[in-house]
Amino acid sequence: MKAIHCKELTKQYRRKAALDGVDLSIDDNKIIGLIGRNGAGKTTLLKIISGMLRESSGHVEVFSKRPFNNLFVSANSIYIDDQMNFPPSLTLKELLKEGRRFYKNWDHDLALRLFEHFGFHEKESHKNLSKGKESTFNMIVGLCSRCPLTIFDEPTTGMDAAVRKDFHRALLKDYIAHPRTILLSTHYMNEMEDLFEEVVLLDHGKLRLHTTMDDLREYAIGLSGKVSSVQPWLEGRDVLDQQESGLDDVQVAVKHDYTDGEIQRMRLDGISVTSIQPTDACMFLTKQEGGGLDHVFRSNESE
Amino acid sequence: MSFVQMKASEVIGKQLVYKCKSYAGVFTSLVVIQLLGALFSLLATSGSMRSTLGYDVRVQTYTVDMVIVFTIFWGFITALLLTTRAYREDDFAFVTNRNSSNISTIAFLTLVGLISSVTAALSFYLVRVVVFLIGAEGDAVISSASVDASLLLIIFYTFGSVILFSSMGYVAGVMVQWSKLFIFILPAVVIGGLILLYQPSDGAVMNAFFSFYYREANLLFYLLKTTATAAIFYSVAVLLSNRLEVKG
Repeated sequence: MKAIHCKELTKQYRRKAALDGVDLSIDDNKIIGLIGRNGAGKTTLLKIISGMLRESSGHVEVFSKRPFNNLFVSANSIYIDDQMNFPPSLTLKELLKEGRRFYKNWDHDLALRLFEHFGFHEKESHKNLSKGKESTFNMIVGLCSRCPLTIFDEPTTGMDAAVRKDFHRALLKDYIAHPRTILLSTHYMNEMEDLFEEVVLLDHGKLRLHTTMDDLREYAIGLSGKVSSVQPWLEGRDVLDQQESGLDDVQVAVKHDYTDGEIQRMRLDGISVTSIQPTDACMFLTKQEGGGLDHVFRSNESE
Repeated sequence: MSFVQMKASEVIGKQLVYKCKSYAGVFTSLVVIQLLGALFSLLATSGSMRSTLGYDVRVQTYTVDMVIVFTIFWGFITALLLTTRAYREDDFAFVTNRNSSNISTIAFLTLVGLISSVTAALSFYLVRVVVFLIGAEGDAVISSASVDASLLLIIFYTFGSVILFSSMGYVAGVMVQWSKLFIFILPAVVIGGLILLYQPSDGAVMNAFFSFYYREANLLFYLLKTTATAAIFYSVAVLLSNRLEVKG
């Protein structure tokens, strides 16, 4: 069964298209990473999937139902971001109790244990929490609701490294015990990559890539060596990034569709072949046009 | 993972309980505004003095009208406030859709409308006790015969007005959420409309409008008229907000 199905999904804000014809299909019971630069449309996509925002055109289905204004989708999904609005008059403990009342799969024991583990106080108010603590509390709510579709939008904002690590482990443990579809957007891909089964990469409101994590690890390779020896291997290939260094040395990231034999021959040509980290691959794939940051500073100096 | 089916009525019920717990500010503001009204009731008195042969009679009249007017106004403001973004997002932290969010808020407003009407009517006793305490020795505090007999009537008349005005506040609030232009349009239309309605023949139209509600001697008809009008306003609000986005 498909957990999420989008066809030609578009979201238009006044003039700008935040999402532009996204076709996406996600199977249930997987952990999916949603990756993209700032402003790529990750949050908009997640909010449409959770039924908060209405799609401008196209088609979106969550568990075969249109999410906007749908009670079934609301009862079976939860959207957690760093701007959760909880009533300020309720204490943290009371908020957890409300979670138990609303979500039928809620695991209150786990909630209380995590609450204890992360050092929250019963009488604290959500409003007075620090950024990282707030994210941690939201994460507890998201995890314990045990919704068939759990959406985390930048869940680790403000968390310190230790808490982030705890979060990843908690997520994985709970997911293994209770498999469900978890959609998670993050900028800390290198920390999360062991968690993800699939990755969805958005760029400027468009779907750039949807692949398994294993494929993404081998999506691109890095070649470095003399220009004269590297250049022939790039003919007709999809070059993602190219940087010249020294006089005639070049470093290239290129989409990996070489055969093992070709790789062997490259090595014999004196080219060093390296793997490209998924984080870097995603960065190259969503590279902005126009020469990058160096270009910005260069034109400044020439004036 | 097993799916959860929730009936709309179930979600509305849970939302209502959630709102009663979390909208504590609503009750605080009610207490404050009614105490303020009671204070005004103590000040706004009309007095008369009569001297006849051998003795003076000083009569001072107190009324809790002010508490009731304040309560009605509070109903309007509270409803308006509950349509704002922060309150709307509170609902969407847990299970809901726009219908269940609206209906539970309307149910909440009706409930606190009833509570506020009861306390408004009971403020009569508060004012009476305070008048007794601040009065000079030998003063007699006499309540007008109608009050004791018709506490229930006062409660229900206040209740009718509170829900009528809350529905107005609610629809106004939803309109503003829908488009910020209504911040300018609504006051212009309402105030302009009032001026226009007062124009012909010394406000005859306006009087007809008011007497439709407030000259209604039959309590049942009065409640029918006010709740029917409120229902119309609320339906408009529900229709409008079904297109509203959350966390946009």
